[in-house]
Amino acid sequence: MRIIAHVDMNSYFASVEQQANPSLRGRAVGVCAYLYEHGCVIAASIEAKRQGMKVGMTLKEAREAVPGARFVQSDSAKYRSVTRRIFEIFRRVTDKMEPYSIDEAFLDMTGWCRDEAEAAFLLTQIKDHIRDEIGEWLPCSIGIAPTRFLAKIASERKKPNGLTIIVMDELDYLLRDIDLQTLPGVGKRMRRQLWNVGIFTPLDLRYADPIVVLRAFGKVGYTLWASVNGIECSSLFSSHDVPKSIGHSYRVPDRVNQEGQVSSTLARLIARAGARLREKKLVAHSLSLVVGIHEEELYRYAQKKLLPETDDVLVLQAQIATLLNQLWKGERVIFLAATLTDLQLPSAQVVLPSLHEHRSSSSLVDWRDVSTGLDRVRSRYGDEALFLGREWAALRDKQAPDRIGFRKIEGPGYDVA
Amino acid sequence: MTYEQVKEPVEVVVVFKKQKPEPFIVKWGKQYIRISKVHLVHSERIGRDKVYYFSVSDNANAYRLSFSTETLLWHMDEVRVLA
Repeated sequence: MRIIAHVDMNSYFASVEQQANPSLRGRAVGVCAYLYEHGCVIAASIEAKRQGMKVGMTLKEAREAVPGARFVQSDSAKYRSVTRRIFEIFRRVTDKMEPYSIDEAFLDMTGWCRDEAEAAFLLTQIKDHIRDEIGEWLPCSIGIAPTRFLAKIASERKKPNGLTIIVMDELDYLLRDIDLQTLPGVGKRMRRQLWNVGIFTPLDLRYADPIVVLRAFGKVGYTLWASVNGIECSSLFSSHDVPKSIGHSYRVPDRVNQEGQVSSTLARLIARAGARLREKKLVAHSLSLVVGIHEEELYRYAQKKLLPETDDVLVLQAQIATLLNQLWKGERVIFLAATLTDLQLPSAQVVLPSLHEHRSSSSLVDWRDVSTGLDRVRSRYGDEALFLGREWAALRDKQAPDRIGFRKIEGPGYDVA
Repeated sequence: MTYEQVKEPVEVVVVFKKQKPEPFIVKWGKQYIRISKVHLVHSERIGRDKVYYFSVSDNANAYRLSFSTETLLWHMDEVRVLA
């Protein structure tokens, strides 16, 4: 039987801010990506959650929900640096540690401890190390179980600062008590669909006929059934896999519209995504754009194949500009997202030029050198040391700054303290 | 709660505790600040420069100090009155 632990840092960004600034401790704190009215809360302190602040609320909603709350702008470099130090502490108890997001990780402790009790003892020591070496205001919840899925459920059981062990013999008691939506991967829609086939609790799912579940929900359903039965489906520790997508989004403030900086801001977003693509030595086969228009319920979306596949910033910016022209006719923009998808390692296949291709003087220049040159200068002098002219307007007004996503732990300036 | 971004050069006396450096006394203008607690240390790489940030406090204020490993200079980045 495997021993898997899931460690989840509670209210992570808010806790880090409270750790850095003692005047925020014990108070309701909201960490926002942007301190604009429409900027949303990406983390709320434990005190703020108790008073009704929820992650995803806009700043305005959060202020109304918790009138005395303090709000701080997120500091990506700080969170990445602290995460790196925490993960280094995790690596002291096992050689198999999978960072799951910026504030949670799975630890395979099989072979490193005899049983769950010993794992719990080691992980309690981990908490002490975090307190002594990083700070006393960084609580975490720990779940121990035979699979990653169950370990994640276990860590959700007691927050903050809890420790829960799930053993297979007692799994039924646990599954009977929890809501279907507590299961990772089950949202409101999936729950409704499960109700429709007579599955009302995770325990019903455990004893359901897998054939019925497979027919009703396909592979997703079977994976869910297997997971509640303690069968590990997903591959472990695949942190070196090629990511599905790389993208950047931005909640656009009003002044971007007023000053005509929409295309420049988008150029900045795609340039940043391109830099991360090149850092991972990948190429993208397609790119997509999402544009949110003020007072429109649905976001506008367009996708484009990149032929040939590329990581070149000039091509990416030109292609995303084409998509923007398709989707946007000068309305008031509230949201932009540029995403590179269908990522692969570059092919070694040499592309022969077409016989009819016009060989202009520009074709003698390898424009990819521009991207390479940009990357080299930035790696030496910083992320904003050199940029393309079309990004200037956005950069001048500090639009689309480096932001952190929950699945993103790398980025410029990611280093250990 | 008063908060100010300053970004001014400071002189710092550092002590090594458990083999790690901690700011001990900061000379900011004509004022000497005795650091009573280091709350958080984090770092950021800006090109080839690696900057260490120390979130510290004395009994009245919280400060953020930065140390550039490229220039070997200390700066006072932020001051916040502890309320």
